[in-house]
Amino acid sequence: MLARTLCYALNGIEGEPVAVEAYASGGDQYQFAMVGLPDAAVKESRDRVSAALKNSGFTMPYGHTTVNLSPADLKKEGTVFDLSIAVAIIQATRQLKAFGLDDTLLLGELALDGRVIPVQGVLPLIISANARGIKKVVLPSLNAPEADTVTGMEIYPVHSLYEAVQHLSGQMPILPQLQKSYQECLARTAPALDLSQVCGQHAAKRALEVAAAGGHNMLMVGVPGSGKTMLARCLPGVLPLMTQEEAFETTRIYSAAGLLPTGSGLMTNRPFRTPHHTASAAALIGGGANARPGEVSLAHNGVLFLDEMPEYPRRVLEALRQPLEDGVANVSRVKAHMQYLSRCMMVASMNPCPCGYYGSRIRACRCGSHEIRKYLDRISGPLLDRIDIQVEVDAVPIEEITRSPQGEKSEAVRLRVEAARDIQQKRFEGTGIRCNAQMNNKHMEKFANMLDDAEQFLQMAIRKYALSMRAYSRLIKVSRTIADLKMQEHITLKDVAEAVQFRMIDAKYWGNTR
Amino acid sequence: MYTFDQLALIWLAFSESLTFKGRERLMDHFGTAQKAFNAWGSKAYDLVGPKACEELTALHKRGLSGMQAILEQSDIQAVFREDDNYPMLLNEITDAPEVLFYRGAMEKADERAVAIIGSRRETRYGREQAFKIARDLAQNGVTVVSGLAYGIDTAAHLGALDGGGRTIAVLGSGLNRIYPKDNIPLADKIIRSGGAVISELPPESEPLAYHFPVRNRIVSGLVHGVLLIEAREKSGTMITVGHALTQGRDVFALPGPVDAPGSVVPHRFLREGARLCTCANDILEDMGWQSREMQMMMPGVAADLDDLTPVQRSIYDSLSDEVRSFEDVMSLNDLSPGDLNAHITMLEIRGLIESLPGRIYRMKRN
Repeated sequence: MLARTLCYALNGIEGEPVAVEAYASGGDQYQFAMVGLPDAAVKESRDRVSAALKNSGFTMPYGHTTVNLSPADLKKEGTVFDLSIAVAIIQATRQLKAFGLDDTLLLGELALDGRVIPVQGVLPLIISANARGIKKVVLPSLNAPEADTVTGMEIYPVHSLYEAVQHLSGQMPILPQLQKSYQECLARTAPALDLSQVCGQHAAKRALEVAAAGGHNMLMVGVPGSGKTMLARCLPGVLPLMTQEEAFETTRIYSAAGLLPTGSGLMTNRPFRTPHHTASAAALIGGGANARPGEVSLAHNGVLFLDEMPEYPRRVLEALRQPLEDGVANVSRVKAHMQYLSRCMMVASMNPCPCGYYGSRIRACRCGSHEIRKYLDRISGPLLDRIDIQVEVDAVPIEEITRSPQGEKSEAVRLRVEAARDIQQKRFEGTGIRCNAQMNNKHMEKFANMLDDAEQFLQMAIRKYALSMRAYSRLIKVSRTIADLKMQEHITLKDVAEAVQFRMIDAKYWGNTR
Repeated sequence: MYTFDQLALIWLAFSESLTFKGRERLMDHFGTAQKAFNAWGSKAYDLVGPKACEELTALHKRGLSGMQAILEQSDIQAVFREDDNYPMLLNEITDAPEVLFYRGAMEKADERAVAIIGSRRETRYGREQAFKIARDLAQNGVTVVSGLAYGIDTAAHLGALDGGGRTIAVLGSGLNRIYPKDNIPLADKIIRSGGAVISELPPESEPLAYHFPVRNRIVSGLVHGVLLIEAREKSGTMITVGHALTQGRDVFALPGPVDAPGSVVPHRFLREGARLCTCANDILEDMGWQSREMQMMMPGVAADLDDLTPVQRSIYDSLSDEVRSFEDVMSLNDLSPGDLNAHITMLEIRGLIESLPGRIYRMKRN
């Protein structure tokens, strides 16, 4: 007899429906065939399923059994099909009376003893299924927290194959998981490193606030041990809390990449990714045989931190330009072509020279100016131009670390940032962008709203510091953010004047050594 | 355009392994380069040694026109000791090169010439002073000579160019092997601006370490005075100063902070009797060259501060004694970082203050 169950297969971060068909044709020789483009892990499920069936009080049919995963031309990977295969076989051999399965999604891997164990990518699968009108899902209990904020779906966590079958056949139904509101999830947000723990560094903290408020990329230049990394780590705590939409986007990518820790729920903390400078372009942008997401996508809605930027191979840095600009990483590989969201803030840090102490008042620099220039030239002009905010971080003298009063808390800064982001959200309604950093020339013309004297001052600054045209538009964006932080409708001369300080490194380091 | 004898001198100059001694013996024996070329044979082996003999023989086979063609192709000219445009001062020294290869313009007398030499790993202070003094000297008609190396040399050449004066770079390599490569554009600029890039080595000679001490005698030989800016222990600049002293040139040194490694050598020379130099005017005065435009050297007119806001005025004043960090200026004037950023930009655009690497600010003086 023929039976059919429903499963979903992961394709990038999208789920595709897969019908699992089982047919037991009888006969006098044991044979179990699996067709429909299964990979090694899927093929092995034959052995897992037959052991799990026997250990759960069912039998594996003697004779010829065929399992087909359709559509047969879609590649199937991983262990997510075990549960649906087992249930289909039970149905096909009439070990229980027939129960309706068309509207229920079955996800889960089987252990040999019949336990249902967690799988990767549950959230993207459920979201895709939900979008296609599937209303019920049976999944491993350890995967259940991941889906606890999905609305419009009944979620049935199970521990074993036996429990799943008992539920499906109606002999011992279990209750759907109680879904949480997104607000409840936010409550378990872990506190990031707090800004009040960073001593002094007022200029850098201010830059961090402006960068967070407008979603601007940022470069910190400073001597070793000046707190660049610490400042960067404060950034997630200063950024607005994730919206539910953002949390779904980010969790989906992590779930698909298999990076979500088992048993954890929706990601409500903004990601903070710190790829090492030996990372390849594929690791950053995405790649591998199956075009997995790279660091830039794992940092989606969060922060991509490049420590010691000049140490990264130039090719890797140049490859970052496109995904950062477009907010989407296109990954093409032999087996797949994928598109992953990559709307993140890039924060980079670097020393001012090879020895690290150029410009320091604490220790003398040992580098000649040609050595410094060679070091700085590892960052290309076009890449530098794409970094809206550049700030120098100077080492804090010891006495300041001990005496300085506690600075402002991240929470207070975050509230200002959120207010500025709210203004931007309203301003950009219907334009497809979310923050000032994403404005293109057309947006700027429409939204910059710059007073005349501010415009004149900007022209003057461009000439004085010999800035490029690209720097010009970056200045307008940053000025807009500064005005938003002050809740001003117009960009004033003062806002421009402050924004200019965030481009000074260009002229100071790259300018005078050239 | 070269005489036979001159071409023969070029032939000798093209040999890198011909020593000064070997050359003297050759001249004693044959009398002139021309005769040596004509009578080139087995006798020469005893005079110049195996290596130079082999090299000169190979060059001899290519013929004089071959070497002339190389010079013409590379746009290089040669000047000889008896020529009118051979530098007069250089001609006075005992081991003056018979032939100098150059691009640009050679003059018999650089009426006033000063060499500026110093560390290749300079500090900001040294770089700024080298640039400023070279610029001011150039504006007063002084030719600035240096070695086209990184650091102080580069700053000196750039300063002279900025002052619109003549500057000469003496290389420790051939003219087709300009070293460091990064300074090739600078060399071109020097030539275009009416200066010269010169070398006694054949065009394809590599920048080998032992070329530079020998080169240094030409640097000091070309000038009336040598200014030393920043040099560490065991610096090559000490050799130049040594040459300058034997050649009877004046030696100037620029003082620096006593605890900086680059101050060690200049300060020692100062204690041993070098002249103290704090600005171009010191050199002009000591050399007896009246400063043509004395007012250029005078401290600038006080900046116009009347239209500054009280806050900007107080920021400006807080920098009057010493350089200060952003944090210091902020707490001294009780400002928020955002406001201070804005004020700093306005003061910078006015040209009243400037910022240094490390977020340090200083009052701008001309």
